Amino acid sequence: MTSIAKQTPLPDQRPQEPERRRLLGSHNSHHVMFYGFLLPAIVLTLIFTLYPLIQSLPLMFQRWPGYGKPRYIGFQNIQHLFTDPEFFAAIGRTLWLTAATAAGTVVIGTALAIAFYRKIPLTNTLKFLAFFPVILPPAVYALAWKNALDPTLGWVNKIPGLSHNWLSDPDTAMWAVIFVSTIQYVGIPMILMLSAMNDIPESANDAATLDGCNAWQRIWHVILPMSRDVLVVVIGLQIIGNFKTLDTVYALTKGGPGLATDILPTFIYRQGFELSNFGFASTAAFFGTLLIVALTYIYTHYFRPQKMSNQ
Amino acid sequence: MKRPTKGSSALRIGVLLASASLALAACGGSSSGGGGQSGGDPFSGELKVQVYGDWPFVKQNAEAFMKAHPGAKIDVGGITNDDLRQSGGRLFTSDDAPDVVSYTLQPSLMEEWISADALTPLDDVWDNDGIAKTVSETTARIATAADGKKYSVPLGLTQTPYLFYNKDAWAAAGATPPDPNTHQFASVEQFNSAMDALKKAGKVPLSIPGSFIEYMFNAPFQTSCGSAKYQEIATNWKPGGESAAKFTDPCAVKAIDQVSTWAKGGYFAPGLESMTFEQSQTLFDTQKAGSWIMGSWVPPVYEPKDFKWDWAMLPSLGTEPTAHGIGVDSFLVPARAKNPPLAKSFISYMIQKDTLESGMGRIPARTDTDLSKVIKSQLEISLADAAAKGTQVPYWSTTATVSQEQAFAQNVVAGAMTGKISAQDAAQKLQDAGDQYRQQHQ
Repeated sequence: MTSIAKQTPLPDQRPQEPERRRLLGSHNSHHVMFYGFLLPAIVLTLIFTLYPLIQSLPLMFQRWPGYGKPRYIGFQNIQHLFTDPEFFAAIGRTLWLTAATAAGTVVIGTALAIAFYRKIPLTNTLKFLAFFPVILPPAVYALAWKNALDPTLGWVNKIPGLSHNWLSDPDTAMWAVIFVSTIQYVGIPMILMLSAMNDIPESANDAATLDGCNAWQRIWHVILPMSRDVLVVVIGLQIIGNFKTLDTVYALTKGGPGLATDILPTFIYRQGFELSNFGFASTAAFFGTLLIVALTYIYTHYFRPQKMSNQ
Repeated sequence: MKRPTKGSSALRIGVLLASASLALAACGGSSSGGGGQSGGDPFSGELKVQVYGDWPFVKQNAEAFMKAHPGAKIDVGGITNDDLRQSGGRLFTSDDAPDVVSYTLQPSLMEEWISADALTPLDDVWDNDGIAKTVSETTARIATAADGKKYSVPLGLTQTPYLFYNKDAWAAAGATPPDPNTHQFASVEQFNSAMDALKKAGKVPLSIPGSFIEYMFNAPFQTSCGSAKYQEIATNWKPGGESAAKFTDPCAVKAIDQVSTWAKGGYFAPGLESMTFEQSQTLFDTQKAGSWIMGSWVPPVYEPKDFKWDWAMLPSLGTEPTAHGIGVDSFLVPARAKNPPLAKSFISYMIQKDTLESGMGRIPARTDTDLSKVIKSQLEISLADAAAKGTQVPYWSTTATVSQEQAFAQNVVAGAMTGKISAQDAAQKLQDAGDQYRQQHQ
């Protein structure tokens, strides 16, 4: 008697190998679906990022106030840019703001994620409060803090020990901007890191506990290393995002007092829209873009996410 | 026949959409279509007027004009100097261009607009109405562009800066007020003493919006250098107008140093840079500030309820008394105006003596009006009277470039407060801003 396992199906019922592959989904159709889902993002990036960037390249060699005919001026804009101390100072302040805000959001966000991972009391409420500023428009959030930091009417100045012209003092204005940016965006690293931690198998924690690790050691030797890939992405996103922030700084200080918080985006905005010098602004934007591309390449090259198994 | 899979269909549709989008974006650009000049009846058609918010008389007179000319339909809207500075040129050359717009002349911007053919010459309005005979030489000179044509019609004069002071608060603080007859301080030391007294009494000595801070430069600059040299330095940014007199000359550096000293002395309110006009007015109105630096447009629209006030000139740094700084409120007609004939007719109507005397509420540019019919407040009448007797000069922010104004705020005031920029360095920044403008426009 033939066992069921050895019974062969009727020829008409069993699909042929090539057809079976088509019905189940070939590699080609997987790729097609993959790119199909990516297509809207690619299209939007082409239209709203790459196309304007390419279109603005000729402006680097022109003087154009935003109306009338542009005038060709050769390399004057580039020459002016590389001899303008304000441009380099703006880049320096941008790097400082980026590094400080990225560090702040990642460290605080990760700390919050660890706390929520350990299920502290009121976890859900605190998670919501930490993430809530992220969903607010940056300009609205910044204006709320601008009012709060007002030396005469703001509530911050009524707290003992905090009475100061935070936004008008060149020595503290940038710290105020860093503070506001950090508080607004700390929710993003928090939610991403928490998600990564929740993916860590419980067996890893149990094994560490059995091996005698205390809570801090588990965090340092198990949780953080196993969340490394996400942490690398989070840091990269924070760097890129903070490098090009304009709305928060503009709403808070417009780059002032003086030029104390003038960063590359506010520098470009001022040159283009306040001084009607779009050729020069485009030149600054182009070289600023090159800088962030270079930084991003260096970062992703040296901190490439590793393929780690969570076994 | 091989039937296309759903995935590749999606890909083809996506590529088609992407190509169409790129093609549409590439075809985009400046708006096309002509500005449509109506060559018919100069008293009919539609007119779009955009003026400053504190010019309510324009709407009132527009209604009177429409009653007299039923074929005209005039829509009066608002605009600000910031709108004009940042996007005036783009507005004037777009399909949304108004037919008539207000502007307090800043020559550098006017020259930009003129060189981009964004404005309509208005010499015919000047000739038809004989405007040159009815305004002062200073006003006519301010209204004349580098090419010799006139692209603006003067309506009124703004005069600034003035120190409006709370007489009661000054008396209580023991601050010596200026001479009530000449409205001048005897010396800058008297002024400084008054400021110190107000500060000691817990008042903010000077309330001024952050964006108006260059008003503080007017009097020191003009009196330190003398009116003639002041105008020479102030206009040396003009293409072809480079002069030997520069901001780095000792007289100008002295003026810059004086403003820096006032800033370092804590004479301005905390949060100066971000202070708005409304906040500065509130500080004065609530008597938290002893004085308010503002212009002649204030008295028609503001009267303090709880205290008496008067006005004064900022102190002189030299032997020359502080002059009244004037700016000219004007009408412009953008090049893309849809109804230039009606625009010019309306402007001519607005500057008629009868129209002005029916209640403009501001000092008119015309010198032949009965001031008592035009302006009502005693304070404004005394301002106009004093200005008519004195030697007026254009106030600095109506002669400077936008980049010079920014350089002033960044380097003179903010730099002074940090102690990181000396008066000489700040002067160099101002000069550099003007030189750069001149080089870019030659």
